Amino acid sequence: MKHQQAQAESGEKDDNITDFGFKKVNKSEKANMVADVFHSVAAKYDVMNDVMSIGIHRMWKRYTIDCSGVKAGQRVLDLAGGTGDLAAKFSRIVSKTGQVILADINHSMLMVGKEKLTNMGIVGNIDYVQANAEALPFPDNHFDLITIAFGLRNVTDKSAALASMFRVLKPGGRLLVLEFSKPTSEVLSKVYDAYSFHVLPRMGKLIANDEESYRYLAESIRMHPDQATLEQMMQDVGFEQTSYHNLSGGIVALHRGFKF
Amino acid sequence: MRSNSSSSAISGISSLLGSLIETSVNQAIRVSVNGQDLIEPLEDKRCILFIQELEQTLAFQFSNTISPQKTHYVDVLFLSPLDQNDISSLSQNECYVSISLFALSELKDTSKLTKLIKEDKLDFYGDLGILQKVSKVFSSIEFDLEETLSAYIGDAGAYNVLEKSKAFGEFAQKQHQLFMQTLSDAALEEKPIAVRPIMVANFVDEVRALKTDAERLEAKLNRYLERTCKDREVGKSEESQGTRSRKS
Repeated sequence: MKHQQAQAESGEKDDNITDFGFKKVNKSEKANMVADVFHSVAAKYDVMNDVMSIGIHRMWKRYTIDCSGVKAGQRVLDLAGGTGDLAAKFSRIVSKTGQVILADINHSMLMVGKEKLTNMGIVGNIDYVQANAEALPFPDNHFDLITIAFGLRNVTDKSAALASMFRVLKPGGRLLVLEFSKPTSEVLSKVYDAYSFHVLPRMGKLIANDEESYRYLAESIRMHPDQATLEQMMQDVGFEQTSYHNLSGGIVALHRGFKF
Repeated sequence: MRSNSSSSAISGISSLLGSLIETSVNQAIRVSVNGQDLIEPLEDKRCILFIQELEQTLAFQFSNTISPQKTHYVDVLFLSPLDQNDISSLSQNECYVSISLFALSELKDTSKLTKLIKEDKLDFYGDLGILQKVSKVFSSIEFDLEETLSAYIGDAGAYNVLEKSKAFGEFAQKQHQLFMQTLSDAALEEKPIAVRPIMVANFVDEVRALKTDAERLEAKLNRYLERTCKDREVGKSEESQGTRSRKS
C-alpha cells in the first residue's frame, strides 16, 4: 500500500492525474466517478454508515457539533452534507434568525438529505444547494461556520476546495473538517486495514448490493492526507490557529481552523 | 487540539453522555402530559450549565421543528469552557449558570434560585427568567404512564400492565418489609449482634433517671453553696458590728 501511496503522491504532481481510490484517473473524470459511487449508495447511506461504524459515526458528528461554537442567528454551511446529520442539528441551534445551507455536489445525496430533514420537520431556515466545493457559489465572507464531514477525501482538488471555503468564511469564522485519517497505533492500523478491505466491501455487497462502491470508500480513506498533511494544507490556504483532534485512535480526525 | 488517546476517550465519553442526556430529556418531554407546554416558552433559548467539580459545560438549546405537530426539541451540547468574554457577550436568549454538582438538585425549586445566588452556591449571568423556566420544566413535568403505554399496547393492555405493576409493587414492598423483619429478628434473636428495642428503651429510661438525679443533686449543691455564702456574709457583718461596739 505504501507503493500505492507513493504513486498517488507522485500522481498529485501531474496536473491532470488524480487518485480515485487506488486507481489513477484523469481529473476531469473523478467528479463523475465519485458521483456514480454516491448515486449508487445514496438510498442506503445512513444504514450503511450505522452498520460500518457500529453507530460510532454519530459520536464523531456530535463531537464536531460540540466543537462548532455555533449560536443562534449565525450562518452555517454544511458542505458535502449528504443526508443532513449535521445540518439537522445546526438548523435547530441557529434558530429562525440563522441560516443553514446544506450543500453537496451529488444531487441524489442532496435529495435524500432534503427528504429526510423535511420529514423531520426541519424547514424554514435551511436551504439546499448543489455545489462543487472547489468553486463555492457564495459571496466572500458569508459564513460563520463551515463543516465538511467525510466529504473532503472525495474532492478532486482538496487545496482548491479549502481555498474556496476560506474565501466564503467570515473573518472570525471557523472550518471543521471531519474525515477519516491515519490510526495512531500500528495494531489498530492493521485491524482497521483488515476490516476496511475484507469486511467492508462484503458488507456493502450484502446490504447495498454494491461491493465496488464500498471498496472505493476504503481505498479513498487510505489515499486521503494524514492528520499533519491536512493541517498543513489548511495553513497553506490561509487558515490560522489550526489544530486537529484524533477520534477513535485516529481512525477519524477533526481538523479545526480559523479565518482572521 | 492535537490530542492523545486519553483526551480522545474523554471526548468520546462526553459525546456519548451528551447523546444519552439529550435522548432521555426529549423522550421524557415527548411522553409527558405537559412537557411540550412547559418548554414552549423556552423556544430559541439556551441555558448553559457549568458543573464545577466536573469542569464540564453543558448547553441546553430549546427549539421547535416546524412540523404540523410543532414539536419542541432540546439539543444538549458539551461546549468548551466559556471565558469571561464569552460570558459577558451572552445574548438576551442565553443564560449561564455555574453550579456545584451537589447543588444541582436544588435547581428544581425555583424559589431557591435567588437564595442560592446570595449564598454563592450558584454563579449566574444572563436572563434569570430562562433559568426559572428550565427549572420549572424539570420540577413540573408530569407523566401519564397509562396513556403513554396505551399508544403501544392498547387501553386494556396498558390498564392490565399498570394494575399488575401496582400489584407487583405492593408485593415487592411487603416482601421487602418481611425481609427486613426477618433480618432484624435474626440479628436480635438468633445472632444477638443487635440490641433489642426494649433494652434500648430501658437504657434510655435509666439514663433519663440518672440525668434527673444529677440535676436534683446539682440544684441541691447550688442551694447549699448559696446558703453557705449567705451565712459567711452574715457572720462577717456580725463580726464587724461587734468590733465597732467594742471600740465605742
